[in-house]
Amino acid sequence: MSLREACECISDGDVLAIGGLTIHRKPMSMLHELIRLGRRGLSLLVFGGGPDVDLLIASGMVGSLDAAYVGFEILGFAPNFRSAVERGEIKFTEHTEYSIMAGLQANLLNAEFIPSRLLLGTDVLKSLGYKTFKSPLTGEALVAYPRITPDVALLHVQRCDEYGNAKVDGVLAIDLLLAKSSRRVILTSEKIVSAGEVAGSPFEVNLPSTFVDMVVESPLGAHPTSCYPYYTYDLWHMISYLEYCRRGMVNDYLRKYVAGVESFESYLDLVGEDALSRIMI
Amino acid sequence: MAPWTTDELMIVCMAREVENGDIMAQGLTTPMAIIAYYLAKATHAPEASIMQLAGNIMVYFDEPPQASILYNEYRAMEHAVHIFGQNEVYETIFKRADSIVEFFRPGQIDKFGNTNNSTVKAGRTVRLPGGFGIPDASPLYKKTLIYCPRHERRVFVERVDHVGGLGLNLGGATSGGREIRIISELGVFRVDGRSGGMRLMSLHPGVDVEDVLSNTGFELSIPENIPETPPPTSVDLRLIREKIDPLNIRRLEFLSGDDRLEALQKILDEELRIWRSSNVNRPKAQQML
Repeated sequence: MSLREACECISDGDVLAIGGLTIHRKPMSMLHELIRLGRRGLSLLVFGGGPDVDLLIASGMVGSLDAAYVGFEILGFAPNFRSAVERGEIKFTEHTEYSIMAGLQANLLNAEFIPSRLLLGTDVLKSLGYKTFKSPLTGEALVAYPRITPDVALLHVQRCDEYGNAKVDGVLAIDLLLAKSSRRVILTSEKIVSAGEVAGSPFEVNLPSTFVDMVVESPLGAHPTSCYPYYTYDLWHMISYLEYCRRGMVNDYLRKYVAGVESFESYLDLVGEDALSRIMI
Repeated sequence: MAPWTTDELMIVCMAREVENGDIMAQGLTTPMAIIAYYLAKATHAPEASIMQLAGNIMVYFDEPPQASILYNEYRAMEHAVHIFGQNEVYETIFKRADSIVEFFRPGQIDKFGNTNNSTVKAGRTVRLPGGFGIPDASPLYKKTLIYCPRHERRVFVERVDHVGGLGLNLGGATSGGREIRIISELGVFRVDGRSGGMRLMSLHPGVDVEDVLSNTGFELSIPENIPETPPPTSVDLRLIREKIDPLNIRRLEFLSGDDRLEALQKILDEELRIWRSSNVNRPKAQQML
């Protein structure tokens, strides 16, 4: 299956969950294709966002965003996230790690909500607007964390077979939870191996195909974020992206690297062999 | 050996908060925390374990690894004994909150230890990256640990603009008998149930109490005889400078703007140069490819 075919099953207005963490293992090749397809009004659910969220916001594709963090880690603020939220151009709901995980975990228990004391007393809870209630067991105050069910989860993994039996390595964040709790799951994978290569090594698979709907092979598909152990973060590329943004030229970046190229392979050609050789492990 | 610097003193103060056998957890983008954990494990807390990169990677080592920006995840994985999904990180926190050490760096902190990494009102409202797990985890620990490389009035505020990590005055989901310790570039501070506000515990050598008062946006409780923070030992300094952080990554936490970017780029180039000049066998990566 091609990136284009996989992306075509994502509709305007879908709730789209993006895996990875900040600058680790983001499904960038899939997001580039989505930008070229011009999907609009997406609702993003992201645990820790970085270049993924910032690029989609800069492309004008995001209607609302639910996230616990959006930034470039050691490189600082995510400029388009920041300005879009400050100007009220997108609807942003601030979460925490727990509020996202509890909402997703409700799917696993087939529960309407998860009750917990966490976040009581904080302003995060106030802005989430979640209801509190008295525990029927002890009478103490509890928060009802409502079920969150993304329409589609996009995850980039290191290896999988053609059925989607995958090995996710390095920083896992909530990718396995996203796969279990989203309606449809699309994997991009550095490498797709034959089912025969996986059979007999179940220890290597931590995301079974029962939770996966589509797989697309996409080498270097997380660039400029990392994909352990193949390549590390291309911080130089991210510094250059942030420089485009600082000069108010993010549209030039998008034209040059995303909208104006045919495919993710052409983007990697533009990035160039020298730059890619810097990040290879 | 050159005299200690403020970043080194802060790291040593942070390491001193670790007890042998603790679990040391790192959130996002807190290089001083990981350097302090490596130092603690290499000195007085050899049996402590470390959960790096948002708690995802539990590492074990005999010799402290070198702190890294470019190869942060790779280096952690070289020493990994387990990879936690984030839900497993919280399963660990819920089970072991009393023995977890985790350092947070807030955008703002107030008199009662409330912290904010969400929005700051500085004329206009400024959007920060977000608190991530701080509002969830920080009130669960027996000892909530904060570090502030910049001790300024815009950080130490009367009231935070947005309550993320709970302090001790708002009730909520916080554990009883809890205390909050703050290590800044000027001294060590504490908020606990009895004091009713932040108290100065010790001043770093060479810092005047006036410096602290003029850079704090609220009334601090000051003891009559102010203890001096014990300086780093030569063992601490040698470990930090030669083993754990020879690239001086710790300095980035004190810089901003172009100075920071320039320092960062130098570190990246240096890391790449060393990586390329070393002929280490990297069997795991080669096998995967």
